[in-house]
Amino acid sequence: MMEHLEMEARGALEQVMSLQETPSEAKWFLNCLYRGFSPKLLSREKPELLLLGEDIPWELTRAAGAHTRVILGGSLETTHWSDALLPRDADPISRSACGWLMNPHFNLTENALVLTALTSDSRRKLTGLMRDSGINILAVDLPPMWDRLQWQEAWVDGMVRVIRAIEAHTDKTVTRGALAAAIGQHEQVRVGIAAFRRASWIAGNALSPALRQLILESFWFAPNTDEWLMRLNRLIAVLRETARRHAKPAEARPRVLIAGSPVIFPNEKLPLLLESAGLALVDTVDSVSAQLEMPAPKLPRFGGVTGLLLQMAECRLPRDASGAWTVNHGLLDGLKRKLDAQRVDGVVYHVLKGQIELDFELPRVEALCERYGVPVFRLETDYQQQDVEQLRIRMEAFAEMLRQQNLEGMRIAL
Amino acid sequence: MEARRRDRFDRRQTATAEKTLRRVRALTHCPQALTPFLDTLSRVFVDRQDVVHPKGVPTVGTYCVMVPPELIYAQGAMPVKLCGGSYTAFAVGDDTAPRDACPLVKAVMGFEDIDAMPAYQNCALMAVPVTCDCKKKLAGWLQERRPTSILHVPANRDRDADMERFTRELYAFSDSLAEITGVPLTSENLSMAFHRLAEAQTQLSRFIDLRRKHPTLIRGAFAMAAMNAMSYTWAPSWTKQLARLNDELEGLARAGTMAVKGNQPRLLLTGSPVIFPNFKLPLLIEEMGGLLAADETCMGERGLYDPPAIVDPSLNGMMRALANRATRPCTCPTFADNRRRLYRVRQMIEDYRIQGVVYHVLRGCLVYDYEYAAMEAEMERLGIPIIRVETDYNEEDVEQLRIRIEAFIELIKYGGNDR
Repeated sequence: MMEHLEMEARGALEQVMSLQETPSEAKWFLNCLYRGFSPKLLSREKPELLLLGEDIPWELTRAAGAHTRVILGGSLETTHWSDALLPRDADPISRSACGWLMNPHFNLTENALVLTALTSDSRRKLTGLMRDSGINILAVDLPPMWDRLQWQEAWVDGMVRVIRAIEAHTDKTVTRGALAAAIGQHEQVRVGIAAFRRASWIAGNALSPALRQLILESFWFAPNTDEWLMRLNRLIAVLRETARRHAKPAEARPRVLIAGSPVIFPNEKLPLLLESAGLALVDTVDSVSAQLEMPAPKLPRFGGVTGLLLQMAECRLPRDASGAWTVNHGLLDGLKRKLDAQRVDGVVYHVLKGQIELDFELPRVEALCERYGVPVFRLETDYQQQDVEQLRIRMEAFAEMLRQQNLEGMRIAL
Repeated sequence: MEARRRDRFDRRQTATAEKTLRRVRALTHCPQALTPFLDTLSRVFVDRQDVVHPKGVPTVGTYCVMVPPELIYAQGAMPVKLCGGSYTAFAVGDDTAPRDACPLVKAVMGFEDIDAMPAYQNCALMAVPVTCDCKKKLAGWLQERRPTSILHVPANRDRDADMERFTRELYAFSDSLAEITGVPLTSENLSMAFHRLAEAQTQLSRFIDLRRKHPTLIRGAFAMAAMNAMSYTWAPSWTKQLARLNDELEGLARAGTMAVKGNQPRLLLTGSPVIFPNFKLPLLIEEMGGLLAADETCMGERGLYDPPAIVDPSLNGMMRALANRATRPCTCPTFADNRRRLYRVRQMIEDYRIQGVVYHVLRGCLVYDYEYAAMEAEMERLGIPIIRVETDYNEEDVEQLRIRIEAFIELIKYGGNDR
């Protein structure tokens, strides 16, 4: 069964790599992704901390210096493993995450403390299930809004609990200095990602958008953030050099943005569909990518760890695109920022079946995009492959419409 | 166009509510004292009039039992539970809400959209506790349209810090109430409200006690109608109505007049709330020869079942008591750890001598669906048959459900479960 998991990861990587030649500097990132699914490593791996979901800042575990694995979902195979445990309508991310942590094939939770934030119904109930099955888990509650001081304090209180639990579990102290250093590293990651996006665009066809997406996703699977950053900077340098020497301009494909549910490796269905429909993925706006785009807070001179967390709350919560909020301002503002910053021809609003909180945001997303004159295409799917051909037809129709629209625009300009 | 839409809504809404009431009244052994409860439902859903409340008292729409009615009464307003059960409003809300949203939320959005129900439209404030994803998004949606107070319900409730936080939420809600009523929260008016609700609780305890002692004394559909009517009735009036019903039931019990035969299978309904006029399940159970002996849903007794335990009579102490009462004994699946729901159902099975459990899942109500596996395992341990019924706010599946419920009742009748 674990071989199926490995095959799933290999299949996704091969599909992306078959699009065009992969630069050798990019292979390390793909290997990172692959290793995350290796049966041999999975049987051996005993992380100290497991971050379930993206809602708890990874800086907190980084500050403790503990061996951490992030579980975001993404895998169809692990989804199958949780079939008997969860209701039919549970979303694929929760199903997959449940399969990662509760399965008969490997036990990532053996020595681990699982840390998660209760941002959705599924997460809440999943926490109860895991606790009942003996998994050591700390679940912190997130308020439904962040615009009251009381709610920001609730977030800080939750994160203080996370830190205390990490310290108790790992016997390591999270100091102000260590947290500040982790925040600094997060800022380097954010700057690095922005630079990488720019470099890959100016390098034209050197990297396919799907490959670029995979490289960004590999962050969550990297065993060492320092090395990931170093490799990313090396790749950026290569791309810049490519652009300087023999850049071929990227094909004039309609530029599309994916918003809504996150694309998580190895579920690369959507980026691959965009490729096959002749669309260029320019960016993503979702809860996972938003985490890596959070600006670093100003570090206060005094105040200890709690002071830093308060600054983080102020800085992060308005940009957090999690489903936890009554209105997902983080998603809407993120989308607006990206529409302001670059030319976007269309938005694919990705809804993973069961992620009702994102479906509720669709009218607001449509209203926002209408102001920019950008069409929105709602695409609902799950991790299965049965609907790929139907989705391909719909995506091709969308691509055709965008191409016609662009041609029409050119005619008017002429 | 809009007028035609409203006209169509009026006709359908009236027809559905009337039909449900007719079916309730058509059941045998309807106590006379049930009439005021049915009249209340008829007034709100058939005649589409506002709830009866003292002049000058604003109404506050609440969307969960976790909003303490004491607080609203204390500050000079009247709570009206607005969770929707209307098929017609559901169809309207279907255009606004995402396809997979639960029917309850769709019905609420439909009522808000159609703007034709005075009980909804006249509310001066909406109070939405965030108990599930749909309610969370509903809160954001309502806030863009109406004055809305959003209450963050802690997903864990065993730490004092969580209770403190919920107490602060209640204070924030109290501030919103003061804005609409002009009545500040004081220990005196809160204490008065406690007394007012305590009387209702006393009558409810009498009612529960009667049902426990005589599970066949009153049909469950009647009990549910009385509980649903509480949502739209001024508390002291509801207390009087329930007292009269209790008196009548006591008389019937003394005379040995039961609503159904003693060998009729006694069922417990648990899961997603059953809200008038969506009485599909209770009516099917009763019509197919079963007795709905008890219900564990939040529109049933759960809303008033637990009295607040006041250990500190100061204002803050009373607010803490409210926060504790609203969350700690609550069996809502919004909580990450909800084992107490199993204990509660087990207790009810003992108390009401239950022979089978109907587990109601409204389509899209994921939190209840998550808890089904644990409930099923527990029932298997106890040797109590359980059936999971997933349904929606429409009548298309009624005949299929009828067959399933009938088969379930027969299974209990002839299956040798002679509890």
